[in-house]
Parts: sequence; C-alpha cells; structure tokens
Amino acid sequence: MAKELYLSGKERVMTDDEIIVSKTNLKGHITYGNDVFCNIADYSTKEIIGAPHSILRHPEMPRCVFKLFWERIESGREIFAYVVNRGKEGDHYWVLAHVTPSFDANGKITGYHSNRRKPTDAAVKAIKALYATLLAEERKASDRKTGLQNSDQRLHAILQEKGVDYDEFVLAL
Amino acid sequence: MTSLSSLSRLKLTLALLWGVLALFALYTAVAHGLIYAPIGFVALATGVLVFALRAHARLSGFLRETTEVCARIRSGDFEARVINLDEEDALRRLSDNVNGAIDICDAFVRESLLAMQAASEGRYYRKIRQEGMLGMFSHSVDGINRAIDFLKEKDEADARNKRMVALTIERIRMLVESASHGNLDERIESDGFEGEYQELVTNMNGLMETISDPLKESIRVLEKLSEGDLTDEVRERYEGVFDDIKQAVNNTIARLERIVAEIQLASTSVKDSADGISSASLDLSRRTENQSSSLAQTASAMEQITATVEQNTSSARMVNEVSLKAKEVALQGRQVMKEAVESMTLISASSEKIAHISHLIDEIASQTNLLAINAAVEASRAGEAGRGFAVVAEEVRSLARRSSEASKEIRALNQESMAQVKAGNEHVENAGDLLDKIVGSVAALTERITEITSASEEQTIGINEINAAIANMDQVTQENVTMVKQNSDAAGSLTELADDLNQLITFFQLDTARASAATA
Ligand SMILES: Cc1cc2nc3c(=O)[nH]c(=O)nc-3n(C[C@H](O)[C@H](O)[C@H](O)COP(=O)(O)O)c2cc1C
Repeated sequence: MAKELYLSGKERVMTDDEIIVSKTNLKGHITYGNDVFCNIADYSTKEIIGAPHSILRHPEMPRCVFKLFWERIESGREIFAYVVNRGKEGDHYWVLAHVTPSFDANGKITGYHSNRRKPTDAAVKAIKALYATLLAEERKASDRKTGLQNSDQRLHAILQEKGVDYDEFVLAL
Repeated sequence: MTSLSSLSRLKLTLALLWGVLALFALYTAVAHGLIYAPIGFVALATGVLVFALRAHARLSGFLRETTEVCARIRSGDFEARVINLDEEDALRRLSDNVNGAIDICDAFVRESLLAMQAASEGRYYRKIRQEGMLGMFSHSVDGINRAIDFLKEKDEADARNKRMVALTIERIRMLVESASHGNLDERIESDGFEGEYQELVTNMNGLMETISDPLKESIRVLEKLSEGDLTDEVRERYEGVFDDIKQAVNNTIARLERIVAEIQLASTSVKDSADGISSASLDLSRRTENQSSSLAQTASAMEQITATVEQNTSSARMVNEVSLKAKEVALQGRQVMKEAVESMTLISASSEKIAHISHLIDEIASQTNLLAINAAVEASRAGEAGRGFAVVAEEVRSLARRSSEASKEIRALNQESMAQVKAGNEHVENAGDLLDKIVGSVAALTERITEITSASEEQTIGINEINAAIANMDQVTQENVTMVKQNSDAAGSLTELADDLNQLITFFQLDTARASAATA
C-alpha cells in the first residue's frame, strides 16, 4: 500500500452514455466488470476477475470515504460517491459511483454492485477540494488510525455545517 | 465497443494469416500437381471440419453460457453475466452487448427500486441519474423521476396543507382562546394562508367583526348610559341575536329614559311636599314650643298657687293653733285677773296694816327722838364721861329721824299703791271684759280658720290634680315636641333626599323630545 504508485497524470473521461459496471463478492473481489470498465482502466476481463477492487485505488482518495462506503453497503444501503480511479497504466478517471448490495431471495447480501456514471465538471471540482481537505487531515496525523478518525470527524463536521446528510450533499453536487 | 486489446488483435491477425497461408499452400500444391487433388480436397475438408468442430464446440459452450445467463435474467436474477475470458470478436461483442443489456436493466431496476424506496421515505432528492440511460430506459427514468417530483410536490403540498391546517387551527385556537377571555379585537393575519384556509381565516375574522361590532356599539351606548347620557342608542343594523342585543339595549335606554323622566317629575313633587311638610312642621314646632312654655309657666304658677295654698293651710293651721292658745291664754288671763283682784284685795288689806304700822313707827320714832334728846342732855351733863353717850344719842336721834322719814315715805307710797290698786282693779275689770270678748272672738276665728283649713286642703287636692294634668300635658307636649322634631327632621331629610334625587336625576341627559313624548 505504501509503495509509490505510478501516476501518468493523464485523465480519462467517460462519455455521457456510458456506465461502468462492476460486481464484487462480499470481500470486494471483482466478479464482473463490463467492457467500459476494462477499456477505461486498461485491464482485460481476465485481469480483473478475482482481483480486489482496490486495484483501482487512487492515492488521492481519502480513506474516510471508503470507510463510509463500506459502512453503508455492509448495512444493506446504497451509496453514491465520487471516486477517482487509477487505471493499470497510471491514468486516472473520475466517476460518480453508485454502489448497492445485491440480495438473495432471503434478503441476505450476496455481493455488491457498482454503477459509475460520468460526473459533471463542477461536481468534480467541488469534490476535489473536499477530498484534499480530508486527505490533508489523514496525512497530518501521526498514525493511520487517528488520521482516519480525524478525517471522518472532519467530513461529518463539514456536512453538519452545511446542514445536509451525506446523500443529499453528494446528489446535489 | 469494438476496441480490443492489442494482444487479441495480434492473435486474430496471426490466425487469419495462418489460415490464408494454409489455403494458399494447399491451392498452390494442388495447382502444381504436388498434391493429388482429391487428397488436397480431403485435407482441406478435414482441416475445415476440424476447425469447424472446434469452432462449434467453443461456440456452443459460449452459447450455452449466454443462454443460461439470459434464462437467469429472464427469471429475474440480474446478477448473471456472461464472463467471457477468452472469446474475441463477434462473441466478445455479443457477450459485451448481452452484458451491456443486462447492465442497463440491472442499473435501471436497482435505481428504480432504490429511488422509489427513498421517495417512500421522503428522500425526494434521490432520483435516478439519467447518465448512461438511453431510449426507453431514459424515458422510464424520466417518468419515474417525474413521479418522484410529483410525489415530492404532493408531499410538500400535504406538508403545506398540514402546516396550513395546523396554523389555521393554532390561529383559530388563539383567536377563540382570546375571544373566550373577552378579547374580541384579535384578528388572524391572513397573509400566511392560502386558498380555502385564507377564506376560512377571513371568515373567522368576519365572524369576530360580526360579534364584536354590535357588542362594541352596545358598550359605547352603555358607557354613555353609565355617564348619564341617555341620548345615544344602537343604530347599526344587526341580525339575529345581535339584533336582540340591540333591541334589548335600546329598550333598556328607552325604559330608563321614561323612568328617569318620571322620577324627575316625582322627585320634584316629593320635594314640594317635603318642603310643605317641613314648613308645616316648623310651624307646628314653634306652636308646640309655645304651648310647652305656656305649660311651663302655668306649671310654675300652679306651683306658686300650690305653695300659697299650702302656706295658707299651714298658716290657718298655725292661726288655729295660736287662737286656741290665745283662748287658753285668755282663759288663763281671766284666772290670773281673778287672782290679781284677790291679791289686790289682799294688798289693800296689807296697805291698811302698813299704814297702821307706819303710824306706829312714827310714834316710836318721835318717842325715841325724845328719849335721845334726853340722853344727850344727860350725857352733856356727864361731861367727858358722857361723851360716848352723847354720840350714841346723836345716832339714835338720826335713826329716829330717818325712820320717821321712811315711814312717811312708806305711807305716801302705800297711799299711792292703794290708789293704784284701786285703778288696777278697775283696769282688771276692764281687761276681764276684754278678755271675755277676746275669747269669744277667738272661738269665732277658730271656727272660720277650720273652715279655711279644710277649704285649703280641698284646694290642695284640686291643685294637685291640676298639677298632674299639667304634668301629663307637659309630657304629651314634650312628646309632641320630639315628634314634631322628628317629623321636621324627617321632612328635612325628605327634602334633602328629594334634592339629592333631583341632583342625581340631573345626571341623566335625556333626549328631551323622546322623554317628553314618553311621559306625556
Ligand atoms: C462494488 C464495489 C466497487 C468498488 N469500486 C471501487 C473503485 O472503483 N475504486 C476504488 O478505489 N475502490 C473501489 N471499491 C472499494 C475497494 O474495495 C476498496 O475498499 C478501496 O479501494 C479502498 O482500498 P483500501 O481499503 O485498500 O485502502 C469498490 C468496492 C466495491 C464493493
């Protein structure tokens, strides 16, 4: 994790019609990725099947976002999140991810599903500023745990200041 | 969609190259007779067969999987996807498109479900994102989002309605609350209200006016009434019970006006009567006082008369006593006189004895004198020795002389006494006569006095009766005085009351025309 990741600095952009789709098991290992996914991330189907979804993790994503992300989906709820991903070749692309649990007939979570759409420029601009703040909070801390705690608190404080919950905030961007 | 990895493109190119080369080699070999044509054909056919069989096997596997995926999708399992690790080209395109179709259905179903779920929880901001939705999906997303908007609007309208109802209830409650405490000036600000609520609120305000207007007018009129002004009345037109109030107030004032006018008349006549009574009782009082003082005078005169009569009585009694005493004394006088006459007789006898005795004394004195002269002569003859005798003889001579003188005086006195006794006897005789007369008079006097005394006693009784009558009269008169005073006081206070009443009544201002019409 701590290993320096190569970043090309090149941004890849989705088209309006595209949806990046992926499915994972309960642990977040990819069980399906559509062609848009493979194309934008420069991975083949073979390469992604069975891989942890964190292969796409970009170092500029604050950890507290994924904490919230997992809290939500593991409790059976959906989440919208702006995510910047890193492709195999070091390119990056911004998505608005909609992640939902998949249920079996008994209502048990069997895995997770993610639809990603093209975010608006304005939304990306706004979320970049927020993520920078949260990331700074995480990097400032002496250890990872307090860093995560601090940025998590910071995120909630910012939302409280705006008087909205996370979903309302994200969907209004 | 058609972009493939460089590796698979390379593989495809190599396979095509190999195929073309194999065909070309086979054709050249056959054409040059290197290979016997049928054999070449067989080889070609075998190659094609092998290739076809392999292709068929792969294809049927792929199709089986794809068919299965479609069947799962058909049964509603949107987790199914064609996981194509190896196939390229047409099959890759097929799997991508099958997956793409499922993806969009999956996305649409998830999104729709969650958006509707969120909407059912009131989170209307959570709508379906249009990005990536095409054609009918896009239409449906539009429809669902519109439905969500509609729900949101409806919900907001409901909430607004609820708020409106709550606000209306609250405002009306406040209005009713303050009205129930008598504050009818409260109104509901109709600004925040819409539609039928505004209408309701306006009507409520109107109702307040309906209630408060007649009350206020009645209050105005009654307040004036409380200041004695009976000239005002409720003038506006009201309906129902408010008209009843109006009529009641106006009737009250009209009736009051009549009563006041009557009282004014009555109080004036009461005052006149009271004044009459007052002056009459003043007159009566004066006369009663006169009577009382006359009575007092009479009483004191009667007292004097009583005293006089009593004095008369007691004087008569005294005179009676005195006359009785006088009679007694006169009778005693008679006795004394008798005794005096007896004494006088005794004195006359004694006087004769005294005359005789004094004659004797004279004789004795002259003889003594002679004897004394003889003695003196003798003594002078005796000289010295006879001197003492001479003195004594001298003395005896003087004594004899003096005795003679005294006897002479006694004789004179005795003669005088005898004359006086004689005169006294006459006087006594006279006095006796007088005394007899006196006794007679005293007896007559006593008789009279007794008559006087009994008359006086009768008088006293009569006078006492008169006194009792006067006292009685006095008491009655005193009572009369008190009564007259009370009467006059009563008349005085009646006058005052009538004045007060008049004063009070002037408090009321009457609509003179109406009042005179009322009392006429
Ligand atoms: C359905 C699904 C999709 C995900 N998509 C992404 C993604 O696009 N990019 C990403 O960085 N992480 C994604 N994650 C989260 C990863 O599993 C992982 O939690 C995240 O990359 C953080 O990695 P870390 O915990 O190693 O820091 C996804 C997880 C799930 C369940």
